[in-house]
Amino acid sequence: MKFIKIVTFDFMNIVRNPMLLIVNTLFPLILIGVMGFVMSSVFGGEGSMSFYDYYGIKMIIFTALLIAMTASNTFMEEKVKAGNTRIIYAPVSKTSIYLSKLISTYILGTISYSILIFILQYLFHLNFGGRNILYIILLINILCLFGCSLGTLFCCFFKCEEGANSTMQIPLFFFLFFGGVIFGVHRLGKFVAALTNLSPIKWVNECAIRIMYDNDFSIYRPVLAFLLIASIICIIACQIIFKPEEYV
Amino acid sequence: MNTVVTVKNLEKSYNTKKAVDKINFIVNAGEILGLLGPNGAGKSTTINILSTILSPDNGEITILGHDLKKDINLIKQEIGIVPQDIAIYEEISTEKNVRFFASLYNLKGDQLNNQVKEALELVGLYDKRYDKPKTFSGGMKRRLNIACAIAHKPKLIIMDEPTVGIDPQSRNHILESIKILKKSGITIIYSTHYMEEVEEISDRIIIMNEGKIIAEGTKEELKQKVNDETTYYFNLDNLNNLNDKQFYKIDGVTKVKILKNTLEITMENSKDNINEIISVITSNNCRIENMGSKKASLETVFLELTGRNLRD
Repeated sequence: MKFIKIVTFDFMNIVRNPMLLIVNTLFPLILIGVMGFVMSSVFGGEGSMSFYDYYGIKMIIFTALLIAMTASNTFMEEKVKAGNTRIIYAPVSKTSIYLSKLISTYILGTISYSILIFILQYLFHLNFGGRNILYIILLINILCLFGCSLGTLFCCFFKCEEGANSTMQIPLFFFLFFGGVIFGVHRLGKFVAALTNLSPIKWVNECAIRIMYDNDFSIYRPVLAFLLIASIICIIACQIIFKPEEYV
Repeated sequence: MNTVVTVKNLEKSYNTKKAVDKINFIVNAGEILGLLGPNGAGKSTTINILSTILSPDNGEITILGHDLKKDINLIKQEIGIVPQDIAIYEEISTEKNVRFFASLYNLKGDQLNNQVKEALELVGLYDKRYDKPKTFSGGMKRRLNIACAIAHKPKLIIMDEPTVGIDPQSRNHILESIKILKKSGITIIYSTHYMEEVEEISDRIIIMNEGKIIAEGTKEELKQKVNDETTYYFNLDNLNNLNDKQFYKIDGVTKVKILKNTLEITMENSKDNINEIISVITSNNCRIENMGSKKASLETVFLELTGRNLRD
């Protein structure tokens, strides 16, 4: 019960922060619109996959991973960190403290990205798998969970928002760049192509494209399993690393 | 008298540095225990251990009958912490702050409403309950910091420098609130840098230095420790003829200071030779315009015991 109270309170704290709200709601829409428009203007928009379709799924993946930054803000942003400190003194377990930040951010991401995908498919007619849309939503939601877990882990490790965010940018950049979110980096040579296999984003991207255009679910379960296992590893690491006294 | 806190052989080290070195003390029910010490004395470490957020290396601690090692959640349920850094949410209303933190102690319904109201009234913020703390002065934020710690009606409140950096009006308000809490039977551990606050509200005082307790007792008992000497001061019209050697010849004089217009002489209490001092002054054709004596204060006790000022 206390855990639910803290999660609800943390969720409301995110919603009260206009920046976090915009980054997780309007920002993906703007990103898709801008990228789709610019690329359509440069390369033309004919073919089975429009640039809006292409960047629709890629930018949703991009922002779903970047929710790691929202998680670190929820945990240690200046305005909420002071208040969060007092929770440590209350009779709640240390697991509740970091897990509530993770779950509240995940709930925001889940609601936001699910609504966005529905809007993009049914209002703006972008391809998110047609009747397979729920599979895409689940995939994005599990990626969001991974992002939240990663952000929380970095907070537990670095103990401050600044340190967590600045260091977290390195793996996030690696995942996104080699995941081919902006462009297909595998074209840069065999070595780079091999590196792309190390990015979970490459596999999420690949999985989504296969479902959306080929109705191919062959890597769906392995990708979900990988993201879930990676999330669980992050959470276990949080449990080991997080020491409330270092937060005070 | 019931004992609320018992600390035995408490030890805590950071790497090789001993922050707390085998300290023992008790806190009696209903008393205010003042914890004094300069920076690095081990006060905050002790408070963090008692607040259950820091584990001791060694020692036994019992709080309200519960073993700190085994019953952390039971202890947390019954204590209230006022941390040195203000621990509130600035972006939500004053009442929501208190309500949220109180709800973490299993309060709900009318009980929650009433206790939130009582806490806000006690710190004088009930009229500001819909305002956001970001609009508050430092003193008001500190008062809210206290309200958040007391709304669940703890039996023991641990306050770590709750008045640091605030205006006198807010400080007075906080001190009055603490006196009211004490009257209602709550036990308080109060750490501060302000000697006058300790003098005003504490029943007993513990002085820490370099991780150890160097003195403990009521303020009268502590003053007694350095009360072997009295310092007399004389405002004179002319100090040019005076020589400190003349005074050191008097039996019992331990210290002589000749300042711009004042002569200060410290003398052992057992040797009451004030008349001889006056004779020396008058024999040097000096007229005494004013005179008096200084009693030992907690500040002098502290200086005597630690060799440092409290704010060093």
